[in-house]
Amino acid sequence: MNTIEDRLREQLPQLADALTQEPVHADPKAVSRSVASGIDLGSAERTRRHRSSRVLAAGVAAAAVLLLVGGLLAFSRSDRRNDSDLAAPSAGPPPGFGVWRPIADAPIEARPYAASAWTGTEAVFWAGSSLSRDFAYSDGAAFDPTTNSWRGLTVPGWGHPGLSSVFFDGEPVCTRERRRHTIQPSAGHVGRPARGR
Amino acid sequence: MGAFSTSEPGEGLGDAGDRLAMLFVDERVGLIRMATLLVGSHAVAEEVVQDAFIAVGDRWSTVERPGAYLRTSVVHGCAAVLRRREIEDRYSDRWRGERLDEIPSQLVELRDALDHLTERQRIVVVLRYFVDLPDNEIASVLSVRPSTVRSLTRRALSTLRKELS
Repeated sequence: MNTIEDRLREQLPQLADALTQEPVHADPKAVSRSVASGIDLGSAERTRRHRSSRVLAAGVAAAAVLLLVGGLLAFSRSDRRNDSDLAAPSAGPPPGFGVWRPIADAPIEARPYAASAWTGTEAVFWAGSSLSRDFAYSDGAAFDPTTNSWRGLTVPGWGHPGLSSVFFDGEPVCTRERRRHTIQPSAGHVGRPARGR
Repeated sequence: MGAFSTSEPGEGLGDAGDRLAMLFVDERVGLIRMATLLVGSHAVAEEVVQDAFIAVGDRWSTVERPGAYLRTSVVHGCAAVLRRREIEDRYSDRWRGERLDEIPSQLVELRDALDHLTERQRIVVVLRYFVDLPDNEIASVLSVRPSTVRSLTRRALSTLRKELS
């Protein structure tokens, strides 16, 4: 190896191979088939990798969650309306359950690192940041699967990556910087809990 | 663009969608390898590249050279990551802990030497010696003059010689 330039030309591809760990697409034909059939281009790869195409998947994953939640909700309401359904546990999920369907466009931009929670009636999404985390969002929106509609939420000062949320003790809560906050989408905002809670 | 779109890359774009899908198949691997060298992390590189494909899909009708647009988008995305060193370090540390033992020592040396370069020097080195781009195209990606590319290259090589000696 004569010069640093020779070394770079020889070893940069080797370093790229080492860092990427495995062929990024071992079977390009499989990708082509996925493209042709309209399947998510990165789905096979995502199953093998811990971190993968998060931005693109966010929309698909959100739709899946909403579909699941909406389906369960519809199923639950259907059960309440018709007692005969309760006597037929083998009736199975309602029509449309498990089938992909488009939902209404949200009033907020798609973004990675957003926080989300299911409140019992709505799926709430808020905050998040750009991919490089040099920009944080301070808005949010709630989706009602029964009406296929969104409404915007104000999220004052909540544009912050690293949020997480759960449905806990009958109340949707989220954390930020070691603090607990409640989600109050019915009031049109996400904010801190009342004192003493 | 609506939030949480359920569309796939190229879906609803007709022939343009087919071309975008083919571009995805043809270019994604190479772009991820390039981005990995730039940011030092495969995981971050994948996200940057994915972001670039989303961007080119959104602007497909106005982009004359999708391949070049993609490459520039990836380089700029990587530059943004590099500027946020604390985020880059977080990912790199995680990755280094997982992979350090599996990489030959000479490549570890090279990787560490690349970390001593400035953001623009690193981009120039990768584009010149890995992608094999001519100076004028590197200059176009970085929005600088070719003479600046040559200057960045000289300084980068000087640093790498010192670090690898």
